[in-house]
Amino acid sequence: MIHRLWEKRSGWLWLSLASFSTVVLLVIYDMRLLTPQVDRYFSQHDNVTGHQLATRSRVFLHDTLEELLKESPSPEAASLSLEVAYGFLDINIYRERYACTESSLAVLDSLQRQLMRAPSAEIERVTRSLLPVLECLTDIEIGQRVQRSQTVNGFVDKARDHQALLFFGTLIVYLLGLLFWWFHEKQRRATEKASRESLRWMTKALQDPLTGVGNRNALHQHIAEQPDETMGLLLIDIDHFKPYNDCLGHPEGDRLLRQLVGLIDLSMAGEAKLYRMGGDEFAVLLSCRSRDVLRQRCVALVDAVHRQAFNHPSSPIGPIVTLSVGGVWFCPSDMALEQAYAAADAALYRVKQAGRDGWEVDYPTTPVPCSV
Amino acid sequence: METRWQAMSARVGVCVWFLLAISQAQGQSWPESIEIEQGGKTTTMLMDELREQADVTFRFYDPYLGREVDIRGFELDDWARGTFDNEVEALTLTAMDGFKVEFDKLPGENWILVTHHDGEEIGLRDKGPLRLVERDYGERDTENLRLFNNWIWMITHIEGAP
Repeated sequence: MIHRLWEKRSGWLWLSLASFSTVVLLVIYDMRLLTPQVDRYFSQHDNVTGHQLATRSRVFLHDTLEELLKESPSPEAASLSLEVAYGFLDINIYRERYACTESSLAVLDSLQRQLMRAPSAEIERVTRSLLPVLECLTDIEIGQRVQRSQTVNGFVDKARDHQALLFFGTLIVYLLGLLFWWFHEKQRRATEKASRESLRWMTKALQDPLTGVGNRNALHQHIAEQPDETMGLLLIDIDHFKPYNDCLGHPEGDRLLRQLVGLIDLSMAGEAKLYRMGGDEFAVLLSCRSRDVLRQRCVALVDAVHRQAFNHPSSPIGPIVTLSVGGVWFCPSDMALEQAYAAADAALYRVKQAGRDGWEVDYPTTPVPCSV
Repeated sequence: METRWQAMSARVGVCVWFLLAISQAQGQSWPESIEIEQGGKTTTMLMDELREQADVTFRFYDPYLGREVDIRGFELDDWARGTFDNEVEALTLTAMDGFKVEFDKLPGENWILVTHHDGEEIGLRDKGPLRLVERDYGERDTENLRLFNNWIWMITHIEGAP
């Protein structure tokens, strides 16, 4: 099925569509890849790791000092702040990356005990002993900032490389898409041209080059296309056309043929299809719902030729060109074309036998035509 | 007589100091309550009461502590439904230093309010007395603490809203 689809649609078109889809997917993938990282590093001011934990520990250490430096310090409040500061400093990555963390935590732990044990007497010493902890926090903050900068720089470099890759990747795929589209367009135009050419040749194959009307093949095709339509088939023969050609020359004979085609078409009120069956024999196919209509058309045709009075200097039956017309009223689904043609030809033969310049419509013995 | 009183006072003093030292060394137990707020009304809930509700236990690697810890606590969702009325959906948890974590809807059974580490009540230095963690944090890189931003420590205030 895919293979059929591939053949039905142009392969180039699918390649082109696939390329453009790839471009879209690349862009979406890139956005999906970058957005969380951007959020992670640049949009974290209001959450737990938005500020360094060391900084938050420092805030509580300052609170501790402020409390202790009051005239009447509250050991409980100072101890509380100290505990929170401890909690923010007691982070595994700090322990792993900064050697001062362990000692600072030990200092905080020791101070906590001392605060509760002898609050007032130890204040000054407590204050002094917090200094190395604050220095440690500074080291951590700086170290973390440096690391963050490195991470961000790495991310920016990576993002730049990624963007370059995306840009060139997108450009290449886009250009490939355009190339495939161009191939597809070229192929489509070639196919269209070939189709037009085929159609032109097919039309030519069904057309009589001299008169522009259909030929025998066209008659077969048109009848096959309307199997359930009652129609009339007329076979028209120009009486004594060979002497006409002999007398006036073939170019004049050809001109007569073209003029007669126009006249026949006019007589059929433009509702019939005309065919040249060869030489001076024409066929007319028209949709008609009754024999009477067909008869009226025959009368109109013979009269029109009489009125037109084309000169025929070598006719044994008169001075003007005349026609013999044999017809049949039939339905293709009931009567094969060969039978209808034979019936019309038999009618034509009878007209000729009767002296030409006349018409006859056969009454087939077959059942009533289809769509009457 | 005076000497006996002095000796007894000294013994009592030592005992008190020892008890204090022990309690402070392990305890770090402030605050002993958290605030619960709903519809503008604030009440207090004792930590002891919360600890009694701790019925969920599991062991996991705590990326902040850098080690495996036995956790004991309770599901935030269950607790919120039991504490607030049933229409509660949004939750705001506030830490001691003012940091907040907000949930527009109840976050699901994966989120646990922790009261104990390794069988011990957690105090401030353990990021307690109440902290919020995810029971299962999937494949997230534990080296990258930025992936654990909603884990909030030292919770002092929880607000529920419809």
